[in-house]
Amino acid sequence: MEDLAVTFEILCKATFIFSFLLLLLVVGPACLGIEIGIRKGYIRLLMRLFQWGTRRLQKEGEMLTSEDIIEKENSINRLGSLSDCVNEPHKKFKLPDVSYLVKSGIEAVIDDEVTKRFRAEELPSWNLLTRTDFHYRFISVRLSILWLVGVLLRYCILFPLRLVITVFALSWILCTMLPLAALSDSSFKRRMGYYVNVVGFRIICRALSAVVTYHDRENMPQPGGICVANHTTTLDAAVLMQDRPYAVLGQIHGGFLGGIMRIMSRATKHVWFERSEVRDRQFVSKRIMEHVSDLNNFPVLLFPEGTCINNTSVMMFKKGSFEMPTTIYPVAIKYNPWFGDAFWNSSKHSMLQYLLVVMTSWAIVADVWYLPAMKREPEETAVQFAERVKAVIARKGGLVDCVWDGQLKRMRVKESYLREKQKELGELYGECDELGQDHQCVKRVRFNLSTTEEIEIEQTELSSDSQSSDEGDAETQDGQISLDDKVEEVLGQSEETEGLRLRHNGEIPA
Amino acid sequence: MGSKTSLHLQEDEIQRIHEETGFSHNQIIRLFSRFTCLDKEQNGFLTRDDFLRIPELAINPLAERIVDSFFKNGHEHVNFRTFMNTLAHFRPCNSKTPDDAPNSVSNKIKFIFSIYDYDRDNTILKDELLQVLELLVGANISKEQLSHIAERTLLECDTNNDRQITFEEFKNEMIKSEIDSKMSVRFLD
Repeated sequence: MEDLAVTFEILCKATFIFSFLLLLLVVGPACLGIEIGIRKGYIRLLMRLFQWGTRRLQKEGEMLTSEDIIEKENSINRLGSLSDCVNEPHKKFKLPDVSYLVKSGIEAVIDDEVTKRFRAEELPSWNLLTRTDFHYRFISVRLSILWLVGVLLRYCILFPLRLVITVFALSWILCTMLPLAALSDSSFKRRMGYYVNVVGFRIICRALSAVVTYHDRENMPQPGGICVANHTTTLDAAVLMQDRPYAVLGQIHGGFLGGIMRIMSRATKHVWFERSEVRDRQFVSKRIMEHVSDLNNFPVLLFPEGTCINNTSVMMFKKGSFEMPTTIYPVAIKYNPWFGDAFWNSSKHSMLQYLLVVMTSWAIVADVWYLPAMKREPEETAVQFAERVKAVIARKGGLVDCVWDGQLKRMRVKESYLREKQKELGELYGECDELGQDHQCVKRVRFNLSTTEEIEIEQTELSSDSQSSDEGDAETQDGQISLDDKVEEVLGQSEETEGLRLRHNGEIPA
Repeated sequence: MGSKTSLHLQEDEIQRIHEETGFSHNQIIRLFSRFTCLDKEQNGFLTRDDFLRIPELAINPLAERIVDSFFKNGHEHVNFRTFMNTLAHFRPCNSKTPDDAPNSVSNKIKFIFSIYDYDRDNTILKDELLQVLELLVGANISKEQLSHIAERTLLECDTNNDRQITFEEFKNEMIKSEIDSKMSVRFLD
């Protein structure tokens, strides 16, 4: 009996101390917006550890360079280079000609621009995590010990702690949102909404040991615009909303999650859609514009790639977000892969598995750059504007600007691209008829154009074709839209406009 | 480097592949990493679908024939060793490369020959030429014109006038056009 009482007392005291610490170290700073520096110190320590580990591996000669395997020479997009000489747009077919395409195909098998974007980034050395281990732990005793200590630390101490704080964070959000939801619209509610959101997400970020550095905060997105960012994980929203709240797009789910969403939407205004409404592109655009026109609402947060990419490149931006007549606030997010892989590989991990992986990583370290607001120029098409914004984000974040569509993660590339290549070859090998009248000479002068124009046409081809997904949903290999497909995908569907089609063919009137 | 399945590549297997293909230790490991990247279901082998999933390959008019060259003798799967043996043809070569090495000029030419010679009977007929031409240009050139092009190409190469291109005739034609550099991929160390 007495033992029971004593244990109970100890438990109570422990809980009390723990809650007090929690309040002091997590909630307090989150509310006040200050940082104690525990996480930053932890990150610095880890960096020193990784540097030491790298030096050890270098000494043992076990480091592999992470450069490319090959230098690509035969791009499939440069079939124009097959023509023999500048003035002669045609070529006589010769048996060795196929070697260009064969080499191009083999180069694609060895290294292509798309497949590697959907897999976690590889590190040049080891960050002491089991999941990135390549027999490293068998190399040095000291490294092995460190790795083991790391495993214990992450799974037995950090993970339970993070789990507890996450649960706490979710209940905090619920508790602070509920009274807010009960209030009617007023400026007080809006101001409280701002703070409730920011504090809630700050606590969540502390739960994930997320250390985010914000740059150029003078360019922070303002109400009345759309914020676009590159997409790596669902945590992107949390990382951004730690600094200021945004309105997100989403589908209303049923069940528990749906209930939470409904409460949240009464506290702060987001843009929710029913499942049936999601397919209607016009409707989605209209709702977004409605939201954006009201300056009391938060800026809308959109991820124009439509799917999660591994944070080494920015893939094609769907033009739907850029057709709307409003200001665009670009934001670049770059995660530091050393501390944990933030990329959500939805074909490999379910959402829960992914969260488990994140909570047992060292930390989530990210840099966020706010870029100056951009507006569409009068002569610019939505596609060009999207490309322009994408280039700005890629450059700032140090990411590769990739023209391919992120939907290729699940879809096959369209056959029309193959037909396009066949057409090019047809025009290359097509010959004049008996009269010497060359019908094909008139059309495609593009092989003789300067390189930049060739590239432009390339890009339009690729972006215009993959955006004309009038076939409806992104047909996945199992026929279903998976979790990380966003409403943004709808904004990518369109009919090919005449303007694009003309450029697409490069037809120059005689 | 990063994947768990790299652990399955044993040291002796690396050595054997090095001897068979001439790739360096480093290159073999990196290509294995690529192999596992393409092997979406982590089966340890690649299927036709795995290859054709690569967008840059899927839009290549000769995609089917190139993928065929990996699958020998009617097998449905390509394991890592076969994968490497096929890629070995594309290593650069020089005058010192022995004739039986996979990357010799002779073997490079054999590779292209097999792209044309679909039924593997060691000769290229006009029909087989036509098939390749049709793959290249699709419906963009009329059948008559294609036949004309195939006829002309056949006549140029067919030195003994038997209306088919043997490997020797093919080889003579290829050697004229620096096929060794055209069929070599720039591997980095």
